[in-house]
Amino acid sequence: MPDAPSPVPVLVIGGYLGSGKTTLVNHLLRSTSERLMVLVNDFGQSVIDAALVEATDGDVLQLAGGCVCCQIGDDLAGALQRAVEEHPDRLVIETSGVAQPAAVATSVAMFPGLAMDAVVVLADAERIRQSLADRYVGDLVTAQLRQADVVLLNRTDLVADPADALAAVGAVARGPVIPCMNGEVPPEVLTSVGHEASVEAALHDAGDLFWSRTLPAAGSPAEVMARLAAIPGVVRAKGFVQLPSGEWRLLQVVGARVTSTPWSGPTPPAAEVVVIALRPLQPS
Amino acid sequence: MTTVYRARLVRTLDPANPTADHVAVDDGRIVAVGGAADMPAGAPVDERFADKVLVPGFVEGHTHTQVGALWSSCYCGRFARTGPDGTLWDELPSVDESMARLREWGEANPDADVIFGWGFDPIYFGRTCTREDLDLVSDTRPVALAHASLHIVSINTPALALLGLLDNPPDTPSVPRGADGLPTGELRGPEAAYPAIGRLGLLPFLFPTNEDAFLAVGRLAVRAGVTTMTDLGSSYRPELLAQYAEYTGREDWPVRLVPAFMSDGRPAGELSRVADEAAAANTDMLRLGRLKIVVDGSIQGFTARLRAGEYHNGAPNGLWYKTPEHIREVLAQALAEGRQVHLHTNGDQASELVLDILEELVAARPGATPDITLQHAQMMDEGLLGRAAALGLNVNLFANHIFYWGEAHASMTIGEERAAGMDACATALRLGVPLAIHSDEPVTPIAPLFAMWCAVNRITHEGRVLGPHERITAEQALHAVTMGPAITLGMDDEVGSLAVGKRADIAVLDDDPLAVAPEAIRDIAVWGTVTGGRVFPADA
Repeated sequence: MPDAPSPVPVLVIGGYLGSGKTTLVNHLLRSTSERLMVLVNDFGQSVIDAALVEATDGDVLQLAGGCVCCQIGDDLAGALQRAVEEHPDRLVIETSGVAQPAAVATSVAMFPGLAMDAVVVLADAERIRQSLADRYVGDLVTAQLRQADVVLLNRTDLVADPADALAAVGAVARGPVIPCMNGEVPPEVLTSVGHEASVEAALHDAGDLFWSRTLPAAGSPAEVMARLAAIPGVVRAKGFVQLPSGEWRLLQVVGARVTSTPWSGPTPPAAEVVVIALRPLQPS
Repeated sequence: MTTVYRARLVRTLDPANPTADHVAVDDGRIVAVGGAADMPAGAPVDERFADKVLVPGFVEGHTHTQVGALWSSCYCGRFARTGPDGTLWDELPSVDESMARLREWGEANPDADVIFGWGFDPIYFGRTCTREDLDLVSDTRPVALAHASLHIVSINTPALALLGLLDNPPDTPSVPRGADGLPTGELRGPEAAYPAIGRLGLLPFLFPTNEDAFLAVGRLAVRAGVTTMTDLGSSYRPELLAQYAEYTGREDWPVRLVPAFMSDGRPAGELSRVADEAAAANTDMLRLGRLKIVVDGSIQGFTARLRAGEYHNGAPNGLWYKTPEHIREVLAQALAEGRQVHLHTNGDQASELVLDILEELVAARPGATPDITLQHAQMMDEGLLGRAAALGLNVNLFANHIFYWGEAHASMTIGEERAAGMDACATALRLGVPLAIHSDEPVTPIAPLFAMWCAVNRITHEGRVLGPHERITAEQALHAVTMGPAITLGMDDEVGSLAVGKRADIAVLDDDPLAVAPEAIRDIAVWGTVTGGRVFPADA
């Protein structure tokens, strides 16, 4: 019997109405080398960059680079099933403005053919304080940020000093908060960590925001995770640790999400972990 | 050709002519209501209702047609319920009895891929059902039991294995695990339940995908005396629209169907476009073009939005299902177009949000007359209902809740005082808000006489009266299942009362709901209906 294909990694993009989710999707589509399948609620709400659209077929847009974009409508489960069948390199789900990203992640977890990789939630630097205090949706916006592995604080170019918004988001978020404009962060930050060299090359474009290096990962998974947790601002980490029994485990960190899974691939060269982290903010 | 029906009594709901004993019908419409002398000369008199009481055909302002598909699986509710074929399914007072019923169904349906039941409600049992319970139904075939909310499903060990959830259980509170580290079998919330339902191939049980399921809905309506019913929150899939057109066009289809498209969040202009396109296919039996917005969740599911910010038992506030921005956009468009919109607002904060939005929109658009009904609206108090009255809104209250979940509301969800004020029918009427009451079938059974009984008596399933000050009279309750809902649907010019020029839509009853003891209203037998002059016996 052939091996089952490895599960499709899933990126959930959340955030309240107007926080820049669709902009981030377009940025991802323009900058990725992966074959993405993107699920959006509705083409009327999420406008995919026309330059990327090669063909339209009902509920499916054929996009450049073999990517596709599908409408979820009222059937997320059905759309997830299609993703299992189509097996793209990565599934990206743009949630609705009121969605609890954790609930979408739960639906993903109901499909063994899919594997949650990251929940990224956007916040609009200009409006986030007001949204957090809103009498109707304040608790929803708070919950969305709390459920994020990584928060992108978007549109920092529109505020004089993002520190205030960073503080407001930082007070509720579990994971790192990355300031950005138009959702423009290196795709490696949102997707996966590869070899150190390519990560360094990608991060070069992101200026002074991130640092990356390879760290030795001796000890048990718990010990390595504890050491990683002590590093401020870890956005992504990926590598291998070895159990005393000799078994290897794949360790992956996406902001607040840490997973350790048995590794059955080729023997890793060393117990080490590639880390991408935010540099401490310079005082403005 | 004119037909005259003679009856023991006709309750017309026409204040100018409240009672009669003859109704004359021609070409689907009423041409005379009164005594024998008022009937057209020479018209033949049909005596089959001579010992019956005729009231306007009931109008059900909040139902879902999906129930027709559910009835092809195994009903596992706490209370007795009659299926579309007239079969009475007995009450199930315990988890064990629910399992026994499901086991019997499985044995009677050996070819079913999954043994599937619906209507289970653990709130009455003090415990839910686990995969161990369901393994007693079968430990070799997959078993799935949908809860009454349709937001939770419990599955057995073979079903968990089939879904791949035993080897690597998802790490989420929606898939709780037992002491053994394995899933308990309960899949909590639509986010966990629907992927399982879909992967187990059970979606056809939840949506009317075939003719039988659809026609079953019509039979349920006839048994309940309903001649106009809603499909409040339908999708706008072309296949469903084609089904609506085909089935409601049949000569044996007995009930006017009024769907309201559920907003899936697309822009308001797009919603209007699809609603208008669909409405081009309207007939006297099918009325498309309305919209529905689900604003929040349910109170018993702890997903309704409460002003208190949390539930009586400390559970956190519920969920918004649409953004305030989207609701505002749709309502602004609806006011401009004169379109009818139904807003599901269970919790008081959800009702308040819609009132806030509408007050602003109407202030900016003097003279606008909202064609809007707040659906369920279970926690609207005097203040909120007063604001609804000032805006000219309607409410469709869920009085059935007092019987089914009144005790749970008092002890768990919102506490005794607010539970006693729920579904404030008397206050709504005192403030002049047009009032309807409903079943939300399949949430509770479609049965306007039962809804009347609930609003009149406010008796919980444990037999006590909850909120006696909100009881209404039988006469008011009869209005709330006829003219009231006709007003909420904007169809009061053609249905809801028996008067000359209106549709010949009649509920044929064995007894007079205004004459029997209030506690006996729910026991009145329904002989059947007349819809557009066509006669539909319930036992056909």
